[in-house]
Amino acid sequence: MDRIVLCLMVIFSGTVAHKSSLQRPDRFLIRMRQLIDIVDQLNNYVNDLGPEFLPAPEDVKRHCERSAFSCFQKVQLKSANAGDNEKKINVLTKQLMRKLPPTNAGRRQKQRLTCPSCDSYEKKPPKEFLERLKSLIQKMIHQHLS
Amino acid sequence: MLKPPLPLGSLLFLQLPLLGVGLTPAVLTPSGNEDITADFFLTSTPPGNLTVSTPPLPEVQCFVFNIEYMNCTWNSSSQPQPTNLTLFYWYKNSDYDKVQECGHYLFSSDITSGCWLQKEEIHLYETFVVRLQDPWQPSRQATKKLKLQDLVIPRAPENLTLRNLSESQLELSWSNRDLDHCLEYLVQYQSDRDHSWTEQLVDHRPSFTLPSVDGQKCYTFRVRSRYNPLCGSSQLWSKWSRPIKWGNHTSNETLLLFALKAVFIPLGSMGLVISLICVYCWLERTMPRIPTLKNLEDLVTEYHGNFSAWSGVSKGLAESLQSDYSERFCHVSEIPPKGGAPGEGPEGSPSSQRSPYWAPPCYTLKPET
Repeated sequence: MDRIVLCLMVIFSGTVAHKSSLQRPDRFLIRMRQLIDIVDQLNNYVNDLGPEFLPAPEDVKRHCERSAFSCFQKVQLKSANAGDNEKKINVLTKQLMRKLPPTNAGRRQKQRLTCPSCDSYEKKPPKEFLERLKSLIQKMIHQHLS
Repeated sequence: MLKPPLPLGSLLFLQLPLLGVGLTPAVLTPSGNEDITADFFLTSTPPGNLTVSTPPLPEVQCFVFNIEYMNCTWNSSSQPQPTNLTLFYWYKNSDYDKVQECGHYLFSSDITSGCWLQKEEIHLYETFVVRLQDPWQPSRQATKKLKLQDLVIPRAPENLTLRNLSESQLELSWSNRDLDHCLEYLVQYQSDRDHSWTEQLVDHRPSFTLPSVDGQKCYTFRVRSRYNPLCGSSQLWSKWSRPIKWGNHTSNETLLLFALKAVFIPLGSMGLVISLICVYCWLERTMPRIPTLKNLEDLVTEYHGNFSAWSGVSKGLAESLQSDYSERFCHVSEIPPKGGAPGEGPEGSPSSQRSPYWAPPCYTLKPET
């Protein structure tokens, strides 16, 4: 009788654990979707951003996507005009700078060959900076879902 | 005889301005700006030759169909002279940066009008560079940079299914063979009493819930998808899926049944009534009405023996029943008894019995013996 009860408990625990793993939210995907929204919102204020050229990675090599994303994060997007838009831009920029949740692919990237430095990437005006950032995020989402 | 000297000096003088007419070549530097399109290049011409302006090349448009194949096409009929333009492509800053010519041209009226690229040649997140060139004038070329992830057209959603979540809540679900997590969807629905579609944008989850449905109505649903915004920024929608209907049987009538009930039956009934009325009127006109017989006492007391008025027979009918011929009166007399002279009667000889007018022969009654 004791053995039967023990077996049933083991089976029940296994079922619950399996079910909970399925229901665990994909934090990485949620974060990436938020980033897409942040970039779209920043596009609304692109005319308020400074005119200086910013490093904007494009055609990033495989497994260097996180490194390239960090180059985008290092850029301090600032508003050229003071006002309400400046506050909104600052809020969005801070959200952009939050660290990405880890993924299995992300852990593998640390062990790969070194990726190009941020200064090696081409510099572009803010509008193209945001377009290239969005393309990189989309690439990372596609890789995550594949 | 000496020939007059040729005006060489004037010819040289005329060619001087022509040397300045030829435009300097426009050098295309890959500045990284996307969608750069150079319509044509003009190179400097040798002295003595007139510059010829070259017509612009048509614009190349590329679309990636469900990431299975890609078509890059151009309007070949826009060329003043039919020319088999050639297409080259490569990927910028990539492992696939080798310039390649199109391996599968598409034709329109026997002239190249596009290029078909297979799945293995498509790399979505790398800058795709396409160059259209005139093989007879290599300097005549146009280059374009594209982001293929913004040019994806997915397949239409399939396997639309409906199920009742509750008495009034309906859930529509569907499937996409590929790319399902990268797609957003547009759901349209309408009832049989609506004149336009109601639409709802749905994120990557392939399901849509209608919170309240009217059980008396028949609903139609359809869905289409787009590669946006998670994995690309395509603005191109797929084709609509096959529509799916939901509703009870009575409201699920076909158009024919509806036409039968709403149009043919009322019209048929009206036609039958009208035809019956016409038949009745025709019969009334052609066949006389049977006179109604009233109380016999009325014939004497009220109508004073006027039978036709009493019976209700119309004057026309009464006149029609009157004879339209006349008969002579038939004078009937008894044969005189025996004993008298033959032929004599109590009133004299037969010859003296001749009346002033001759009565036709008629039947006579034999006397009783």
